[in-house]
Amino acid sequence: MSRKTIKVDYLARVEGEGALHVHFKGDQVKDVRLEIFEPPRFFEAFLRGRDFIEVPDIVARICGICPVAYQMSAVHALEGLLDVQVGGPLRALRRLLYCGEWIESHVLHIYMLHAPDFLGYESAIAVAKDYPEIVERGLRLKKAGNAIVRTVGGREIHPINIRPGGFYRRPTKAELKALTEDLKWARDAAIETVRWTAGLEFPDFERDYEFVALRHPDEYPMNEGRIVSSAGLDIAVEEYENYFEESHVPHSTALHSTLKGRGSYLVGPLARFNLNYPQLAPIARELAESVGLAPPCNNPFKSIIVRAIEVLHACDEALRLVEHYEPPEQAAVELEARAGTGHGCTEAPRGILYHRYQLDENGLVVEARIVPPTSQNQGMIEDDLRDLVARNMALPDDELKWRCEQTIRNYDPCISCATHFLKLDVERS
Amino acid sequence: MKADSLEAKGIAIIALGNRFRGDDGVGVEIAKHLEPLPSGCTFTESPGDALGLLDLWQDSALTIVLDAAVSGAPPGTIHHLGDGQQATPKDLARCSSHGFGLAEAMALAKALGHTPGSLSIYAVEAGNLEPGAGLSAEVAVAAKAVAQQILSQINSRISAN
Repeated sequence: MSRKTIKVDYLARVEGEGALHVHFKGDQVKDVRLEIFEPPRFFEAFLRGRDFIEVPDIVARICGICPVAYQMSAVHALEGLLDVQVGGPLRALRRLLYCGEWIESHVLHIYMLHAPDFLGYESAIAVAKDYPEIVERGLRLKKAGNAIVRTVGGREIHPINIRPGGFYRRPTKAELKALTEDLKWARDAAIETVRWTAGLEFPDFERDYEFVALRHPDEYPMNEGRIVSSAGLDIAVEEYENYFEESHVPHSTALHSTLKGRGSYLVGPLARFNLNYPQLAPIARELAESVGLAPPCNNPFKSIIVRAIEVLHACDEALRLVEHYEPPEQAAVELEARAGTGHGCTEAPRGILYHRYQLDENGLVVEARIVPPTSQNQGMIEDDLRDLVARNMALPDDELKWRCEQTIRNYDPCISCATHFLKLDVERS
Repeated sequence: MKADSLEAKGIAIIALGNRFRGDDGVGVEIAKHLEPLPSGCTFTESPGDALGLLDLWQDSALTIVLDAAVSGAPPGTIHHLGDGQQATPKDLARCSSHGFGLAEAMALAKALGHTPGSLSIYAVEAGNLEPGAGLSAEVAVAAKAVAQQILSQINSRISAN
């Protein structure tokens, strides 16, 4: 067959956009600005007037990579408002679902975005040409996460089986048991992934972060816990807005989130790992020790190893949950609409995701507030970039752009660089 | 290929795009015009991770992918790529996995030998990608036209077999 290449400059993917501006004055970094468009702002308006039952299905549309996180923060906020506790097998199913999303999202980040940087390749496609077995392992590992989300959530993308109070349909014991063999393989592949990522070479780059994550007395945090920080913060989810604030910055449509009186902070795998290390599954903790990874880890480039550790934890936890699953008596707890305000915070793959909802007496949304991990990390990404640029300002613009992109890839922010891939605008005056 | 094996492996129709970003939702709109789906066809809305395409098209005799395009052409322009044609990845040095799209999935599938049996891509040039539901007028017209083209393609494929 004759081959013809047609250049369609790009096909649209528009979950968000990003651009980076760096301004030098002489030999000083004058300004570093990361512009991000964030979809939650639109959804907050879109949710007004909707019935609370619809909320999980709507917020799932905010992100194609981590819809479960948006659904989980929403259902916890709404159940708090309605004064309902969801426990037992329903709670276990939610945790299993979250394990699936962590596996999918972390594996995508590790294999498709982050690893090529350390292997000296421009992309995962280039890696696939030389090391197909590595990329195939990533794809199969990610499928183990997909299978969990499909089985519990009803489908892989934008799961439809989640509602306040529980689920629309209970998975059967046999359906969950069918995940076992793949998960056993995935756990082994996760172990290989930890060893592989730990063997990569990392830049010598450490910063003094204030880490913020959930903490739960009995488990590595996903759905529930108090919000704690490495500088001693320890608050209930309901107190979030007393301690954190969002502000508009002129250069971005996103809101920057800061700790009141303290400034930028870091959420995500590094924060969870550093603040919850003792709660990791023994298999994950032992492997971390054997590859020389211990808290505190302050090198953002090493977050690739931490993600691999969390994939291992999620596979191990998922296996345990599948093994002990007994279907709940009812698919969901009965709920009755009432007026009030509820707060929810769960650990999305990229860090804590805060939701607040106000409902009227008919259960319609009066106000919604959604603070995604990316807007919480945005200040810290800029701080990292400022530091990096100051250390490397003698580099040619192309090389500096690459280093900046690599720094942003540490976070895999919820922006789509596909439509407006990182435009580095360097101004030297 | 015999008609029965086409029937057995089926035709996968996959809509990419975000229905809450204006014309990016054109794929879902095209699919609505295809209802009821012809026999042997399945439809999947895939607004997130494009890596899933590698699985979705693995077991199909024909995969039809619907997406929005931004190439500088007038809004509503229909781009059609058939077998052997490759969309060009935008910039492989991207900074977020959220940007992994159709072109990248095609390139990765090729590198790993996971290409679909037969691939047909319909992409409609977008005019408006601002947050919000609904298509611009030119794109809505194009969505109907694409649906007609797809039905003709499916019918001629079935009769050829």
